[in-house]
Amino acid sequence: MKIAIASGKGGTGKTTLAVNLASYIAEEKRNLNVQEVVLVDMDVEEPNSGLFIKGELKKTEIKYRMVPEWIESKCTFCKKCANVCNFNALAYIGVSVLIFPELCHSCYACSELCPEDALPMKADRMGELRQYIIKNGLHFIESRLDIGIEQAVPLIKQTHEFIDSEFDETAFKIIDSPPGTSCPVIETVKDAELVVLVTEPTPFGLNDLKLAVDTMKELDKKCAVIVNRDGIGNDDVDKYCAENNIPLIGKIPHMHEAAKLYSQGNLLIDDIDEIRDVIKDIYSNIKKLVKG
Amino acid sequence: MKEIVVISGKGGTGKTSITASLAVLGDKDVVLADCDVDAADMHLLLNPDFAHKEKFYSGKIAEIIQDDCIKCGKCKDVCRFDAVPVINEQYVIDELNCEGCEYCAYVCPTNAIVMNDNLAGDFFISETRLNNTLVHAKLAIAADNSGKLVTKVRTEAKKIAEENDIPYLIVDGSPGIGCPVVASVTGSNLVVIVTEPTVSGLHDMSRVAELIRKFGIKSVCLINKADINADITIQIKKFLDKYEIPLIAEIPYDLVFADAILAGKTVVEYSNGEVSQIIRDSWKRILEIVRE
Amino acid sequence: MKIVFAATGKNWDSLVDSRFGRAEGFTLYDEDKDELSWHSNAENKSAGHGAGVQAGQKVASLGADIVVTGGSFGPKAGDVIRAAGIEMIPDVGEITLKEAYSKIKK
Repeated sequence: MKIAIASGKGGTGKTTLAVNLASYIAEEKRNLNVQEVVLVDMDVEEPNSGLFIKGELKKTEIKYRMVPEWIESKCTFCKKCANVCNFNALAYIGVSVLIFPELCHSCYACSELCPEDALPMKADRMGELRQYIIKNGLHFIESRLDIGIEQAVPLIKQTHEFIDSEFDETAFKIIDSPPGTSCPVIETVKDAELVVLVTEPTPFGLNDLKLAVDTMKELDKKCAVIVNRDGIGNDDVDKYCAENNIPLIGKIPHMHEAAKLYSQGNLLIDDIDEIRDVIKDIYSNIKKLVKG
Repeated sequence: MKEIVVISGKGGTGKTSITASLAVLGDKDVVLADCDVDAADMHLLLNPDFAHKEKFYSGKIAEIIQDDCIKCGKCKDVCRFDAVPVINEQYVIDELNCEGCEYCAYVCPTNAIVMNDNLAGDFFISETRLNNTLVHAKLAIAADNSGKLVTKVRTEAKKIAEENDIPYLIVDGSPGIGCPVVASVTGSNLVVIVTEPTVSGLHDMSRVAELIRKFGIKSVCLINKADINADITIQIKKFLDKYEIPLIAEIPYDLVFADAILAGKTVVEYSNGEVSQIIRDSWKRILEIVRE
Repeated sequence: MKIVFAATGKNWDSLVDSRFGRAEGFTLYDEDKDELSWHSNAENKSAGHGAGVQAGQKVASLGADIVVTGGSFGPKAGDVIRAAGIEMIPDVGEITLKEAYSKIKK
C-alpha cells in the first residue's frame, strides 16, 4: 500500500504528519497487523524527515542518470546534436561540442540521432539514496539531490523503483511528497493509492488546498484532507471538503506544546496523548478509504 | 530604485504575512511582486483587481496528428518518459509525462507529430486595495517551475517601478533553494530572510544563506516565533554572526498572524500590538540598510 | 575584427543590454566592412533553461572576435564563449553602442 502525504504549500505540517503517522504504525505494528512500515522522503531537494527520526544506516546507493559524452575523434561537426537538443544542453561552436549536464533531460535524442555515434550516453551522479532502520522497526528511506542538480524527477523515479523492489505490496508505505503542484509532486504521487493533503484552517491554507485538489483531480487521484493546527482559524476548509465530497479524515489540534516539540525535532505522538489518538483515527480512516 | 526580496527556505514561517505588512508600511513608495508562483497567497490579503492578464508559455509539448499517423510505433520506442501510451489503438501523447524533447517528432516517418507551446501559467498585473501595483502569477497544474515565470514577474514589476519613479520594489520570493529562488534573488539589492527556530527552519535557512552568499547579495534576517525554542534561536544567531548577516528582529510566537489572515488584512493593519510594532521597526531598519 | 554587443537595438545610439543570455538581441559591428547588423534573440528570451548556452552559441556562429555586455556573462555562457576563443568584455554598463565601442577601442 502506498500513501502519499502532500500539500499545496510548504510549512503546513506535511512532514510532521508523515513521521508521526509512520512511527505510530511502526510502534503498533503487531496490534494493527501490519508487516512492514516504510517512510520515504521524496522531497529530494530539501529532505527534512530525517531531522525527526534517527536510526541506523543500513544502505547507501549512489544514484545516476544518463548524459551524453562527446567523442571528439568521431565527430564530423554536422551540428545535428545541438539542433535537436530542446534544452540547450549542447553547444556547437565550430571547433567543439560542449555539454552542460545540468541542463540535460536524458532524452537520448542527441546520442541516438548522431550519425557518427560520437555522443554515447554515460552515467552521471545526481544524488544519494539512504536506507535506515529506526529503533521502532520503521524503515526510513531518504533521497537527496546533489547541490547544483536541477532535475528532481529522475531521482524520485529511481527512489520509487527502489522501494518497489525492496518491499512488496503488504508493506505500508508512506511517502512524504515535496510541496507545491509542479512536476516532482506529480512524479511522487503517481502510483499512490491515496493522497493525503495537509492544510491549515486559514484562507492561505484553503487557497493552497484548492490548488492541490485541482492537481490531484487532473491526475485522477483519490484524496483526503487533514487539517493541522485546528483551532487557529475558521471552518471554511470543512465547508470546502463537504461541498466537494473530499473526506476530511483528521484534525490535529493547535497546541503550543506541539509547536515546541516540532521545533526540537521530536515526535508529537510520544509526548501528547491527544495527538496520538488523532493519529490513530487518521490511520483507521486511511485504511477504510483505501479498502473502499 | 531598490529591490528588496523576502525569502524563507521552508514554508510556513510567515514570509508572505510579513512581506504584505512591509508593503502596507511602504505605501505609495512600493511596487509588489509575488514570486511565490507555486502557492501565491499575497492576493488574499491585498484584493488585487487582476486588471491585466496574459497566458504564459514555456517549453514545448508534443501532439500526434492522428490522420497522418501510420502507427509504426517509432515515437513510443524512442520516448524515455513513457509519454506515448496506446489508447484505443491510437498512439497519443500523455501531456503530464511529455518533457517536450521532440525526439518523437524527429523519428516520425510521416511528420505526424507537431510541437505546441506549453501553457505554463497565467501572469497578472493588478491594482491592489492599497492602490499600489502587484505583479503576480499562477503556475499551471503540473507545470515546471523553471524560474522563467519568476523572472518575468520580477522584470515586469521592476519596469513598472522604474517607469513611475517608485523607489522600492518588494518581492515575495520563491520557497526552497532551487532554480526559482535563484531567479527571485539574483541582482536584487537586499534579501530579507524570514526563519523560525525549528530544526527544519534552521536547516533550510542555512542552505538559503549559503546560496545568497554565493551571489554576493546583502542580507538581513528576521526570526519569527523566536520564543518557541530558545536553543535553536541561539544557534540561528551564531550562524548569522558567522555569516555576518544582521538580525533585525525577533518576533514572538503570536496568533495575530492567523487572525489577520482570517480578517483578510495584513498584521500591521489588523493590530497595533507588539508584533506590529516590531514589523514597523524592521521596515525602518530595512530602509536604512538598503539605502547604505 | 568583428565585435558583438548584447544590445537593446540595432543602431549606434541603441543601449548595450545588461543581460547576455536573455538580451533583446545582438548587434554585430564588422570593422572591415564598417557595417552594423542586428540579430534578434527573441527565441532565447523565452527559453526556460540554458539561454546563456544558446546565446553563446549564437555569438560564436556570428564569427565574433569580441563580445560586449552591460552586465556579466553567466557561467555557462562564459564556458561557451571561452571555448570558442572569443574575448569577453563584461560590465560596460548601460551606455550606447557608440560609447561602448570607443571605450573598448581605448
